[in-house]
Amino acid sequence: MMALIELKNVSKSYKGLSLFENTTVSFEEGKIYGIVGHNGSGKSVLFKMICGFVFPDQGNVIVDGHELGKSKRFPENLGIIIERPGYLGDKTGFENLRYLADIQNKISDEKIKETLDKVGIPHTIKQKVKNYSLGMKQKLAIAQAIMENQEILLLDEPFNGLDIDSVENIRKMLKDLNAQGKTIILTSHNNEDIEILCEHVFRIRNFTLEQLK
Amino acid sequence: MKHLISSEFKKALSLRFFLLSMALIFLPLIVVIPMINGSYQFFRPLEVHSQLFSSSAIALLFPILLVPLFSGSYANEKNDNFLLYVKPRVNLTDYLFAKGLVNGLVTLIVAFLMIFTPFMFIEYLDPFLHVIQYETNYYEPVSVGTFEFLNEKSVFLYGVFYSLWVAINGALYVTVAYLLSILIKNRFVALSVPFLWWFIMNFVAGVLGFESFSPVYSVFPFLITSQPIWVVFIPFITLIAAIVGLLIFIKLKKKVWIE
Repeated sequence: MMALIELKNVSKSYKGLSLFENTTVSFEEGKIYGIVGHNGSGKSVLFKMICGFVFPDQGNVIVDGHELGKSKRFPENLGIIIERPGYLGDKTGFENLRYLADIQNKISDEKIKETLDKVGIPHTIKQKVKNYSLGMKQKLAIAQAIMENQEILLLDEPFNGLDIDSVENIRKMLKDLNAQGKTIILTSHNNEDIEILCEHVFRIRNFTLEQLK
Repeated sequence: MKHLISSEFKKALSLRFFLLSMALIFLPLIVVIPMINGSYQFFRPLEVHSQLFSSSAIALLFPILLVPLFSGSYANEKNDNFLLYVKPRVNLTDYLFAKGLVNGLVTLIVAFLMIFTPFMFIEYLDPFLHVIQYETNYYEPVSVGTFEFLNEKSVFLYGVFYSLWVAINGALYVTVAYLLSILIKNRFVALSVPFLWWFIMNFVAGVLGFESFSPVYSVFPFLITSQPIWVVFIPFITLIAAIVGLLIFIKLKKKVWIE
């Protein structure tokens, strides 16, 4: 199967720390990948490189046939959660998603409401996001990552702050999305999430990605 | 781009924006007119209009009054990590351009109404209501300064052009605040700089004896003798040069794109 995302001979230092040295790895379309590694090992930086937010010091990152920084700045059709959820605190969850959706204007209000309900935030609630619990903010982050039917999902600790029922719901949702052909790369500090969801697992160690599964 | 501009307008037109705008537009009428009415000798409506702004905090605090309308939006989006989720969806240059444009436009409209609404009331409504007391025993009108020449052509023309002049200056000051919020991490510092510039340059121009070139007398030229029109354009051009300089600096530093 063709690689959807490729890192070729990538080296990257970030804020004075060497994180990757001559790393080559590829991710195939329609699979779920898990990335594990200790804190500060470079999981978020790996995701930022795939998003085009930062560039490798050496080597290339190719997403869907486009080399980032050359033929494209940011890859298209990418749903992300990186580091922490992002939101406008004085707006409702629906308004936050609407503002993001308005940028490309690809989806309707109905689709946003449906996505909110799917991740476990009733679309009818008028609460401002600054008053949301950590778990609700996380669900909102997941909603923005999937609402536009994004083909590639990069989810950094998507289960942070979620209760047991919500974890079950989001796991099921990710499996369904994968069954629809989405490519998912996620990190989790909980091995159970990785074991249940991921067909392939990489560990960041010794400045590279080692395949565990 | 159309979607981006419409989305930014939606973000801007919040209840907070509406309340702040209403306060800026109507407080001078509601609060300042009762204060100056009867305390000064007025011979014609334009003097009331000029006194309204030179006697109130509006002239003193001008940039800081307008900045809270919208220019904190980018700083908030950056601090709340919202911008990170914008990046995969749009070219950031387009996004920031739309945000800056809407920022400037909403400020322009509010600042225009802040000057024009009292003008309409004083010039056209008050003659029927008789709220403002005028001196009737003799007539020695006082010049309203540099823009008096417009009044000599038409009072309404003066109202429109002077309001527009203040509005454009207001929009430029908030644009400086907006660009600084892109460059400087501390949003309080970034949003305060236009006010500090206003305050310090007024002081420096006064100390050096060049009051007519100070920012305050460029926008509110009521308390100095009438100047040739090019004089008010000196601080104005300086402001435009500052905006161009900031844009070049942002482009060279690639601030937004790297962060």
